Amino acid sequence: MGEMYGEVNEVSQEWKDGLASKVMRNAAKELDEDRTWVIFDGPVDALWIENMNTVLDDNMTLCLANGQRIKLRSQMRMLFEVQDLAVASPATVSRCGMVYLTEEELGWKPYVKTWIKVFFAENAAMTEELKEQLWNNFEFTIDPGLQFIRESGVEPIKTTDLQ
Amino acid sequence: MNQDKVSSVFDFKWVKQLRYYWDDEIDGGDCIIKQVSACLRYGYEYMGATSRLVITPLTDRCWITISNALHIKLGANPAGPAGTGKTESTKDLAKAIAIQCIVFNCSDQVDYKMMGRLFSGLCQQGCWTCLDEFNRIDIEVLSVIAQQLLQVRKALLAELTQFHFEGRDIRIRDTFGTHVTMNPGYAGRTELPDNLKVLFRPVAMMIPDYGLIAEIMLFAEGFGNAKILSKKMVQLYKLSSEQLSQQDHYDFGLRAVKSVLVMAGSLKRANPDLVEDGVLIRAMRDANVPKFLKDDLPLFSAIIQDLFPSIEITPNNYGNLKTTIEEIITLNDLQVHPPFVIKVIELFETFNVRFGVMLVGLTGSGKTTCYEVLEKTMTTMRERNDENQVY
Repeated sequence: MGEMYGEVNEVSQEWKDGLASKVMRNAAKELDEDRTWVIFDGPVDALWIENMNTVLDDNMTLCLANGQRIKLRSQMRMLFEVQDLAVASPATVSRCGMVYLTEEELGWKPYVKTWIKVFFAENAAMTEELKEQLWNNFEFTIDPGLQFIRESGVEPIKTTDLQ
Repeated sequence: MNQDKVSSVFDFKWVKQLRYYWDDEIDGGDCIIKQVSACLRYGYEYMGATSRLVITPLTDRCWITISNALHIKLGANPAGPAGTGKTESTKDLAKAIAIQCIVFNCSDQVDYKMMGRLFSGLCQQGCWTCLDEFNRIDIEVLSVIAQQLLQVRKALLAELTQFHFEGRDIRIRDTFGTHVTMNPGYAGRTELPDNLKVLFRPVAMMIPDYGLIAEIMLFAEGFGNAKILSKKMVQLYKLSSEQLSQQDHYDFGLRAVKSVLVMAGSLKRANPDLVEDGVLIRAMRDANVPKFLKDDLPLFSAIIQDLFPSIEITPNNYGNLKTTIEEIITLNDLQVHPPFVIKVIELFETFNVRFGVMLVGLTGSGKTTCYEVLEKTMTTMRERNDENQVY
């Protein structure tokens, strides 16, 4: 928590900014009209995200534990990248807009296509025909294979199509 | 007033309103504000031309509690679930009587020294403070805060202008007020100790008046038949929260409603010729569809179809944005996958109405790629001097 929002050094009684407060302070200092995004990657925990509550609603101020308040610019946006919100409190959930990405919608196919394209890009021996053949093999084997494993086999760890 | 049988100035329905008077007797004349038995001075603090809240019976009740608590030099304690307008009501009352209100978000790192500094500043200025999520503070710190507040209150009751606080003599102004808001029963929250409870008048804020708020905000955004639309909208939200699957990230509270209304307003101003029902439906779809799971989408469309039977829902046209996104995706050696492109557009739309956005999804569902693509797209469009300033 201290690393994130800053804390008072017990020995010198000085305030030391944390990572988030520093990033936000710098972003808020800029004067031009550029859009700034602050991106938080990783699981959301009620412990640290609750401090963001005033940031996320209409006040747009970050309150630090030493009583400082950082007023953010209206061009700034906060983006959180999370797997689920099982431990986030409703107070946080109601403040954020949500975009849900389903893995079924993406599937494994775009990944394989990109892999074929990038991996063999330098390889002259790999003609378009061979690529086509490789892709057909993928398409032919993977879906029925996965289906077979799920229906008649046992998965010790649950997987999705992508993995 | 006649319908409500209000006949005298002492009728409760009249007395409970926030009333402004000019009083000549207080040193040379001053504006005072009365509500029930409370009597406060006008603060003369200029706030700028800001938007105000929709006044519902719930806000009225909250205001009565706050103003009367202030009258007897106590604070108020609005409590209730997230998104019921606890903080906003407090701030709006501060606006109404022109006093600056400092909103502070409490956390468990807050200690008594910091609170002491906060209070001494507030006493000297005579501001209000609204301590958000007060019960996140550790219980040890809370009992010290109770002591500090008690000191301040004693000074206020004795009508002192100077008093001893935290080792210093400071000035005190009688407009000082402390309000705390809290969500009881959430994770990481403590119960208030009894000696602190007596310093705050509790007011429960459970369910905001969605219908009234939606109606007035729609009128304010320029819709003609807001009455019917607001009814349908509230119904839609009620049905969605009941019929769709239960997910952690679903929320159909007041903030969601408000973002839809703001979105509908900007859509309406952008296309003044469209039918109002259509505009509202589009706003509701744009705001809600991004967060739904695949299985809930048909259910949601069915609810919309039931409530707005005769309306044809036209697919949105994103024009330039979509083509640029596809360009960027190809440039980065990725695959143009239509559902993914739609997700990127949805992220963009959500960014326009919300300050904080969450991308939710399992590992490998393309969260990082999604925002990276959008970032590059927006930069490209800006460099190309696109006529639309939103990029």
